[in-house]
Amino acid sequence: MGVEETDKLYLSFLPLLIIGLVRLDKKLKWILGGMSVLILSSVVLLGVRGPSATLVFVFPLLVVTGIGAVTLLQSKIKLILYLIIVFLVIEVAFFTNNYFSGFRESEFSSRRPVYILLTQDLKSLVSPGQKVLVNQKLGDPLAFFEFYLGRSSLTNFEFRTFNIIEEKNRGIDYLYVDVLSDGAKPNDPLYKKDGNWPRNMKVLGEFYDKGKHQTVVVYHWYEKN
Amino acid sequence: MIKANIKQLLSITGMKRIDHKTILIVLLILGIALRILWLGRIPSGFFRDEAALGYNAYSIWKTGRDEFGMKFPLVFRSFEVFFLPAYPYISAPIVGLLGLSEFSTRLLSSLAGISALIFIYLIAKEIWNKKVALFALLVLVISQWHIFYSRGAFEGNLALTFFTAGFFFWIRFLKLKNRKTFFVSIFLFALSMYSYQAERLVVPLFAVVAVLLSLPLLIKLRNKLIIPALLVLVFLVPLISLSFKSGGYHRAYGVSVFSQEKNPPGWVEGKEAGILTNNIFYLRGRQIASLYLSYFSPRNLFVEGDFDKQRSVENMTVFYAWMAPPMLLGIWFALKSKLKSQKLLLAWLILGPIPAALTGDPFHTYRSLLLYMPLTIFAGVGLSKIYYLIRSFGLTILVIGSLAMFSFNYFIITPTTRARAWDYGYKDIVSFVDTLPKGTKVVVDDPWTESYIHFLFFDKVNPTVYQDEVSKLGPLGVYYYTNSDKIRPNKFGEFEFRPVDWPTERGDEGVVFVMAEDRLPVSEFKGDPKVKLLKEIYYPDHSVAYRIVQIK
Repeated sequence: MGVEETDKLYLSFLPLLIIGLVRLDKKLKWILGGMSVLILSSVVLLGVRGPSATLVFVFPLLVVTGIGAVTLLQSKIKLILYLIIVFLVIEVAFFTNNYFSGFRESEFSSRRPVYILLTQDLKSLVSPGQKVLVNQKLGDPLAFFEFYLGRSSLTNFEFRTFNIIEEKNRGIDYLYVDVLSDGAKPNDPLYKKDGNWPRNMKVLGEFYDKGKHQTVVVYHWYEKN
Repeated sequence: MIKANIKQLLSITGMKRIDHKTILIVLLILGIALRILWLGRIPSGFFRDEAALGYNAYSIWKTGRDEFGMKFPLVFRSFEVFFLPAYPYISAPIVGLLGLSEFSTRLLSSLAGISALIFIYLIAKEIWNKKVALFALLVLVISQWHIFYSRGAFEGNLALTFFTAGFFFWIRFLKLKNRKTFFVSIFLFALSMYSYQAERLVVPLFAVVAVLLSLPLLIKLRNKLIIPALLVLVFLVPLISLSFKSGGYHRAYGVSVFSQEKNPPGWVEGKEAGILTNNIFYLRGRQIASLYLSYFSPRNLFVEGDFDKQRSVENMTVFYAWMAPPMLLGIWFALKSKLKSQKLLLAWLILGPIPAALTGDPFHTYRSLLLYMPLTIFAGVGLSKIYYLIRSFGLTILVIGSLAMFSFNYFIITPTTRARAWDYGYKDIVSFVDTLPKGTKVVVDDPWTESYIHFLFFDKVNPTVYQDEVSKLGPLGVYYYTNSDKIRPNKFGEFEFRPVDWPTERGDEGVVFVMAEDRLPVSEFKGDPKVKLLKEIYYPDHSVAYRIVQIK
């Protein structure tokens, strides 16, 4: 299953898309505009945000991109179109190579090996009814948790950016899933795994993310203040 | 919108109609109030970069030297960030005359924000008309991003105002075709380059577009324009020469994607780099393109906002969600327009996020400030079109409601919830530590050793005291501009700033330790008769921020 990790449009389509939108004739503008509004509102209202579910949105965009290409083809300055075609060929070559060689990678999937281990381990770490707080800093983790654990088993999961020092005072018995950067920045929390890790934060699981040079940790604050 | 609805209200109450000028004045007063009221207290806390800007301005005013003792520096070395010089220099007389305080340090940014209100009005009036200008002003007056960045000592906000003013004078020049407006315009652009890193990249790119769009005119007027252009070029020589020294590029390079050790997204671990696999140029290009496009993502602009707690307002994003349709409409009209000024505005929009896209952080609003001004203008254009189409009282309610929501979150909620992200607590620490007997050694636990600036600032330490301490590290000429390593004293007077190794240092008799709550929980000293808790400093939400303890 790699659809969610594959870009839907090539970057080279973007200028064509903009040109297409500007040059759209009135009738098409209304038809495509209406279609877009319909799709967008159904996506919002039905809460469907998955990459595969929104695939239908791609088709009107492709039509507009095509119009943009035709506009450029009919214009006097064809150089831009030729440049775009060169970039498109490069993009297609990279995509084809990555896809058929079986290691299509993207910003999301670079953390994929960690997600697989993490979600497997979480099943045994979470006690029944316990809440799990997953840090958004993990990079849009919801889709992966849904995929590997199933949406129905995420009722006790919360996904947001948090700082443990602020969270511990809320008194909720969370199991925290967080990420520790290799190099601390001024705005990062003051704790580090190899430094001043607070004594009452107990690490339950640890996964090193080679791609991002970060450690993903599962921990528990076992002395409530 | 406001005008028509106020007119309705006035007709009901029997009052006379109000004119354009009155609405303009009301909007300006509102804009000024939102940017200057309680400036010293809100944002709650005082961030280290603000303290550095304020103290260096104070130091320049008092001694003609920065905190290091460098005489009138070209960039300010403060914690190896290398601030560009416009903010501290322009701020020096303000801080000098009003005294060193949070208010005086932030005042320049606030005044820049207020000036931007005038320039956005003038730009929209120049390109469109007075009515559109009023809507552009209205959008900026209530814009959360602009109020936020006008209320902190942000050099980027000053740079943005210089750029906006430069843009206005450029489009005036296109109309008037005289030497004076040309000079004022390019001088303001140059000033923006002396104010913030992002402008150092965007201004030259924008200049290329602006010149290409007006090439025939510039060639025609070349004899008139050569002297002002040369003057500004001379003015830029120090900045250009500095670009080849560490102090000139360290900050920009340090945050860029090119300085990151980790591989770009899409890199397949365990595979060798090749033409089609792990091609660093392709992957880095994609990463930059992806970062660039994230600045136009509706999700980032209208829903999520900046992820960093120091750079955002609680529950708010960059723009109000309802501004999306008018913004799109405004961009649409600009795309359709053949006017040079609108093309320039689009160029500003396209170039604005480039510096931010070259840095590794996702959606960094501060580095992409240049983007939001043209977006605001487009939102104003779109809003005026929508208003004249529907003339609904609902729009007035929307504006007032949005402003009320922002004001509640910014002035009431954020000071409590975001205080820790703004280095809250140092003012109280310094005033307490000042009450300790003279000669007491105070160690401030700080892994980044940057809190010294808060002590210099809040204690209004005579700049020569710290400069003397710096002089012990050797001659400034050897490292000031050329070495970006951490070279600065970690102490002055009785104060030391460094990470505390509590288990080994808890026996140091007589020493006072200042430590953050999470670095020194009660469990670390409770029951120890040798450790005396002197004071706890609290955040506005009443949780403990710092503990000050003394070893008996």
